[in-house]
Amino acid sequence: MKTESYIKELKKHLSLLDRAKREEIVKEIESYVDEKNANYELLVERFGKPEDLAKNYLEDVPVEEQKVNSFLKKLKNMTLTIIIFLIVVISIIAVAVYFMTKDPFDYSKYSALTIMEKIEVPWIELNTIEKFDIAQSKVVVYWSDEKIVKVSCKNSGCDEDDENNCLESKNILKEGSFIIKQSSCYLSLPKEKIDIKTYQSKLILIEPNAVNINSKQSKIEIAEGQNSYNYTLLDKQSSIDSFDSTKDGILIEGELYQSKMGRYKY
Amino acid sequence: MEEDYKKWLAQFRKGYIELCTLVTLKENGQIHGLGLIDFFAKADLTIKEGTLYPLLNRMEQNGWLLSSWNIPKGKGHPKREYQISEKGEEILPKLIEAYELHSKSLENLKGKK
Repeated sequence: MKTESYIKELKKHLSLLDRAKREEIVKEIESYVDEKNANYELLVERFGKPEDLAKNYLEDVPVEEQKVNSFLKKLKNMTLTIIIFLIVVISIIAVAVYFMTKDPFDYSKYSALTIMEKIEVPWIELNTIEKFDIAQSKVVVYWSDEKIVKVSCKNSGCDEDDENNCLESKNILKEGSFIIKQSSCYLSLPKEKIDIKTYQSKLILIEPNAVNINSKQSKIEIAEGQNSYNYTLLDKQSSIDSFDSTKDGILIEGELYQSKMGRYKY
Repeated sequence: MEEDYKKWLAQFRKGYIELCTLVTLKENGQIHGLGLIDFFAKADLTIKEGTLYPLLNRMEQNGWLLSSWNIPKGKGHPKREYQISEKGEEILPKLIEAYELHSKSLENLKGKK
C-alpha cells in the first residue's frame, strides 16, 4: 500500500474537522513521510491505522461540534444530491421540450409538389383566396406554379379520421379570406401576391413569392433559398434578423408588432 | 486486565506527556514533532507519533503552544515547529506543582504501608 492511501484514508476520517485544520494535520503527516521516507507500514506502526489516528485527533472535538459538523456534512451532501437531481430533471425536460417543439422535418428541403407526398393529412383545394388570417397556429407556406390554393390542416383536439369536418369547424373561408385558428397547416399558394395576417402564430415561408405580412406577437421564419428579396417592413417592438435586401428582389412587405422575423433553421 | 492497564496508561500518559512537552519546549525553544520524540527518547520516555501529534494539536487548540511552518531555503521539506506560548508559560508552573504534589502524595501513601 502507498502512503497516499494512508493520507487519503486519514482525510476521509477527519472529514468532521474544518478544511483548514484537516489540511494542516495532513500536511504535518506528509512532512513526516518526507523526513522519514516513510512507507505505509511505517506510518501504521508509528501513527496507528488512519481511522485510529483520526479518532485521536477527533477526541478533542466536542461531541456537539462533531454532531453539528456531521449534520452540516450530511446537509451539504443532500443539497448536492438535490441540485444534481434537479439538473438531471431540468435537462430531461429541456430535451423533451426540444424534441416536442422541434420541426418534424426540414421544411426547406421540400417544394410545393414534394410536400404533398410527405404530408399524410388530406389536401383541400380552395379557390379565390386573397388573404389568410392565422391565429394561434403553426403554418408552413409553399408557393407553386398551380393557380389554386391547397391546404392541409390538422386542428388541435380534432378527430383525424374526420379531417374535413375539422377544417370546416375551425378554419373558415369567409369573403375571400381563409381563417386558420389553433391549427397546424401546410399551404401551397399560387405565385401571386398575397396578404397574410398572423396573431400569436408561427409562420414559416419557404422560398416565398411576394407577400404582405401583418403580424402581431408572432414568429416568422423565412427560407430564402436561391431567391433575392426586397424587405420593406415596418417594425413595432419587434426583432428582425439582418436580411440581405435588394431593390429588384421579391417584395416582402408589411408590419410587425411584437413579433420576431428570422431565417428558417431546422 | 491488559486492556484495562493500557487504557489507564494512555489516559495517564496524556497529561504527563503534555507536561513533558511544555517543559521541553520551555527549555529548548522551537522544536518539531520528531525532534520532541528524540528529546523524549533521550530521557527514556518512549512515545509514538500517533500519540504525540494529536496531543500537540490539542495543546495548540488550548493555547498552550504556538506552531509555525519552517520552510528551508535550500533542500529539505517544511517542518511544523512548536513553541511554548505565553499561556503555556503561565500554566507550566501550576502543572509542575500539581504533578509534584500528586507524586509526593503517592510517596506518602506508599510510605504508610
